[in-house]
Amino acid sequence: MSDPRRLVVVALAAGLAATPALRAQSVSELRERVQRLEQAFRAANGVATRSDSAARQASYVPGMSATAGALHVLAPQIVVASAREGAERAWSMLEYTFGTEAGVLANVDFAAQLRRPNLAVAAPRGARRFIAENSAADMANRLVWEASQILSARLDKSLYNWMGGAIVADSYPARLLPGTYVDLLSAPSRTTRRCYAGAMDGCRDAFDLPPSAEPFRRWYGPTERRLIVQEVIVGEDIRLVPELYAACVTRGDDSSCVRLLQRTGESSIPAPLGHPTRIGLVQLALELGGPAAFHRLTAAAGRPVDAQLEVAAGMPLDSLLAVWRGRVLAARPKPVTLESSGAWVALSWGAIFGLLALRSTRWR
Amino acid sequence: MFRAILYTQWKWSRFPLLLGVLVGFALPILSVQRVSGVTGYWQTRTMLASVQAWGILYPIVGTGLALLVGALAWSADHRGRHVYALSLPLPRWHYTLLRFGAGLVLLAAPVMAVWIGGLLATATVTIPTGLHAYPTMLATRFALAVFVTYALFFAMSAGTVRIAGYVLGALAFVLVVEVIANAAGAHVSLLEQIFIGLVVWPGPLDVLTGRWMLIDV
Repeated sequence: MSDPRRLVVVALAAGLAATPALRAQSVSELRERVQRLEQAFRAANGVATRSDSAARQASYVPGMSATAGALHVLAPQIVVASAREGAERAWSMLEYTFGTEAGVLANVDFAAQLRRPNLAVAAPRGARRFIAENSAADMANRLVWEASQILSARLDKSLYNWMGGAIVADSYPARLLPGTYVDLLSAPSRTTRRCYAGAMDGCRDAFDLPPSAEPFRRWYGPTERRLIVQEVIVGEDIRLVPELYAACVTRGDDSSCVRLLQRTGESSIPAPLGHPTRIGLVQLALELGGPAAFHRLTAAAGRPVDAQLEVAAGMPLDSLLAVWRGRVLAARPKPVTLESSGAWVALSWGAIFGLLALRSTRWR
Repeated sequence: MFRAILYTQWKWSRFPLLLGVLVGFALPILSVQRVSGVTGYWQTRTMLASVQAWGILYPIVGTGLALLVGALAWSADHRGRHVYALSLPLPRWHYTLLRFGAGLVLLAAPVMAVWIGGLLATATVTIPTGLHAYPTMLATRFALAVFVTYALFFAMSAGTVRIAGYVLGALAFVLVVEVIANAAGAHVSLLEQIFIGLVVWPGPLDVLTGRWMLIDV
């Protein structure tokens, strides 16, 4: 977005933000306003982006087609080879994650825009435009990202909200597992410890499955709730409810802590297992459920989130969680170890330096 | 003979060694202070970060000690123009070996301090479920790091000024070549390659790199 437009949007946001200070508001009202402002900013940003694209009409070139599976990409002629290879790579990843449902992408045209030189293709109205470098890897990444957004938008809203983001096809989703192992051990919640120890109810609670209205009650005990208030409720929020804050933090009154957390936006309260881990669980369900799993998942819209996962995976939730837990435990990161090869190399270098000292020419 | 050399080297390097022993003993204990303060399950993550942050000091302390002990082993000989060493009925290699061995024996003290400190530190705290203490592994790594760096600095100190000049000259040459090549538009990163060669396996300083965690998963 160009600087003048950015200034207008920021000024608009600042103006809107300044107005409500005239009357007292609750924390939740403030957060809602912030969310509305963010939505307005995103909308303005979208308009500005389209405007920027229109400004570059002069560099539009005729496009060539690159197709792989259901992916249909229009790209400037000079990058069509990269686009074709990128589309092939992207399609294999999309098919692996979304299975047969990836076929719906046949209804979408993707139009590649080159960054350097700045070239865009003429594409049908409604085509999904994306900017990429002239490399197959970058084309593949951008295509996977765009296509994953389209496919994830077909999911049930409650499931999407629970995940906190889109499922992005990944050729190696297991890379997150070592981090999840550390999360299971180090997250400030007894739920993850129970899950680590093998209690499936602990895993369900850690994932907030089925989603509950106040998940922090499942995740944290009184001590942790007080510490979360100390860590999370800051600045303006304390000023708005000083008596509750003092009762919670200073006197350790749990009911005050709960009331404070109820006023706090859900996204501000740290979940023991974050959104990437939740998305990882859904990806596992899709993997276990086979090629039709994503289709079943979209068809199960409207059902409870845990039921949707069961339908996708084709097994009870506890079985899915048990498989997930097994994979996480198997991905335990390597602790600080000294490989025998490393030790031998160190000893050898020490001996070599020692021999060099013995052979010094100092006395000759 | 060895005892005499050990004694003289101890006299020359006792202050850095005693400091090294103190620091080596204190480091593991300080690094687990957060473990004692873990309330419920809240601060485990912070504790791991703290242990990792303290861990950076192990290779620094080890290298510093090795540098001091390696350099001090030869300082008196350099000052006396090696007259004492030449007056001994020993071949040079034998004399150098005695000096080298004496330094290693002295450096065993801070290594033991790290080990004992690690054992003590991990015995006095309750480690959260799923985490483990690695005092012996840490002390072994520390010992190897000290050994390699001591041998390196000992060899450098034992050399002549001419050898030191050659080494510095080679480094200057590499630097000049890199500057000229980059000025000419060629992307050359010789120094970076040399650095990587030193610190990545099977480089001599590989043992210094990586995470030095007393408590880990």
